[in-house]
Amino acid sequence: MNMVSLRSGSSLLTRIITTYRFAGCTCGIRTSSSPLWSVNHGDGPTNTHNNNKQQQQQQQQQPQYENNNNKQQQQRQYEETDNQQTNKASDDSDSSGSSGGSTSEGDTYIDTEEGEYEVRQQILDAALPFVHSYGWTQESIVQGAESLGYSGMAHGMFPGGGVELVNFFYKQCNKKLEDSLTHKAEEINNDPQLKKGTTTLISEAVEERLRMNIEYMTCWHKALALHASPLNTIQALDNMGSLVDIIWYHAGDRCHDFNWYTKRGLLAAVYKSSELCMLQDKSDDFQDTWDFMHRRLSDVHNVGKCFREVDGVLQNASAVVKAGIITGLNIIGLNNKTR
Amino acid sequence: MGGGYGTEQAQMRHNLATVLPAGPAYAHINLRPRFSFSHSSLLSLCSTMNWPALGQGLRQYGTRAARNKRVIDRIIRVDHAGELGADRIYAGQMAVLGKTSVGPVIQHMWDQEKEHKAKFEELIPQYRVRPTVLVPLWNVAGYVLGAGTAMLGREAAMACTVAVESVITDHYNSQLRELVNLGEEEHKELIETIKKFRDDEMDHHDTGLAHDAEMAPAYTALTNVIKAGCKAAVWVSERI
Repeated sequence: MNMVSLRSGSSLLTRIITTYRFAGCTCGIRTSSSPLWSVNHGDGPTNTHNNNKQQQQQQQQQPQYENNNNKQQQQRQYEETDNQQTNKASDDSDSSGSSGGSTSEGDTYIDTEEGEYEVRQQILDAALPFVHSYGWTQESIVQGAESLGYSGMAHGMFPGGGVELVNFFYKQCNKKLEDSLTHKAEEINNDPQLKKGTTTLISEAVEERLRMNIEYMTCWHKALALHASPLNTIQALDNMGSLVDIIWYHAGDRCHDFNWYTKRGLLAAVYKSSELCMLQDKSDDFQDTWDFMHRRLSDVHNVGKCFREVDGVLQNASAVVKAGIITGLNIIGLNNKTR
Repeated sequence: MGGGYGTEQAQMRHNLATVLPAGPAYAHINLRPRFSFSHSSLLSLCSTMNWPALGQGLRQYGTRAARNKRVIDRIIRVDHAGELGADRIYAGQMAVLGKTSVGPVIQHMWDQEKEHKAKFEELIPQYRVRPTVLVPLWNVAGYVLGAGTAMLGREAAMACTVAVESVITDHYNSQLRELVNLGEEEHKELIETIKKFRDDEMDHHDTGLAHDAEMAPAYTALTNVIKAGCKAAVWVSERI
């Protein structure tokens, strides 16, 4: 394999691998004639390289999901069908004709978008246990992929690196929270006696969600640091947004005007501050954090009450002022009715 | 990797030189093949530099269900904004022209818009859609538009109705096409609702024309300006 492989016909992953091999060569690391990835003899799918006939034969026996993933990524990013056709053509021509390469057969599940999504989720899920040792980094993803039998190079599917792991974990927790809240709502439906106030529901939901972070509390500050980076802001806000939406929806909010935003904004502030408090909480079972959270929620409640009172006062104020003016006019004697 | 690219370029130049005629007249010809190389070089660059793919975060919604949700989200959000705006426009018009002869006509159209708005307000929590953040803005802008055009006269008010309803009808039609594309059976309820509302809006459009909208001062200019404003509002509400 040489530099010519970098031309058209190479997938994203093969280019990454080429880069690593080149780097390896320059550093004086002896590389064998067969590609790097063949060292990992798992039962899982291996990466393929179009120009290597040996790999082609392996390719026909194992699903070509990696190649197709990258083809799909390229297609989506650049919408170049020419590239695809060149790839397909070279695949077909290079294969020794026994099965014509998996690409030309009917799509396997992994070739579909859903299939690719599933694989991504599986790899990230498998990577989570490694976070304690390797942190929220690419290395965890590599370990996760290898634990499933895929090549470590599968981390190329996650260009964002560690932050994708953080997002996955966040979404997984949100989903768990939603399921739990739905279940609770059903229980309340079946047994009206369990009905609780809105603030109670919200505080329980926030506590439940924060408890899901306890598992990774030692490295959670690193995850928050990743989220604080400007490149990841959109994702972070999106995650937070869906979290507060879930909590409010299950607490009974059905509004459809600007209050939708104010309510969620306030809850996001409470959640975020409680999360930060939790980072440095050393008390037993995080009792300090729950107390902090209850104080913040009662603040919000008080603010809402205050706004309503001010509104009422303003309406009354105009009536009071009018009454004052009429009284003044009466006193001076300028009221025409009694003259 | 610079060395790598350099040698590749040299290789390609050598290959192509055998095909292309040599000489200064041909020096301007771009030796890079049109499709593959430039993109693959960009990809290699991205991979070596380890830029977090900015689009990656947004592409997370790769599944069909998530894509459906995004489309329906947008549709309901913008329709709610539209009905809210229409409700306020008629409110403004009624405030000025309520006591004139077109009062009952406008009142009838307003009642129907109120119905539409209520339906979308019901759909927002049902589909867990985020309402547009510009709701307060559309509240004010709609009222101002309605009252403003009504002050120009009853024909101008009708012209405003015609303009707004024609934009909304086209918009509903394209939404119906999108929904049918996504799956007619899946979204049957929503399709039926939007169809009914589209028919109502077309009705309003025709009513406006029937009540001498075209006699309004500067009819073409007025309607074009209002149409442009509506289209901009629709575009913004879809996103924000």
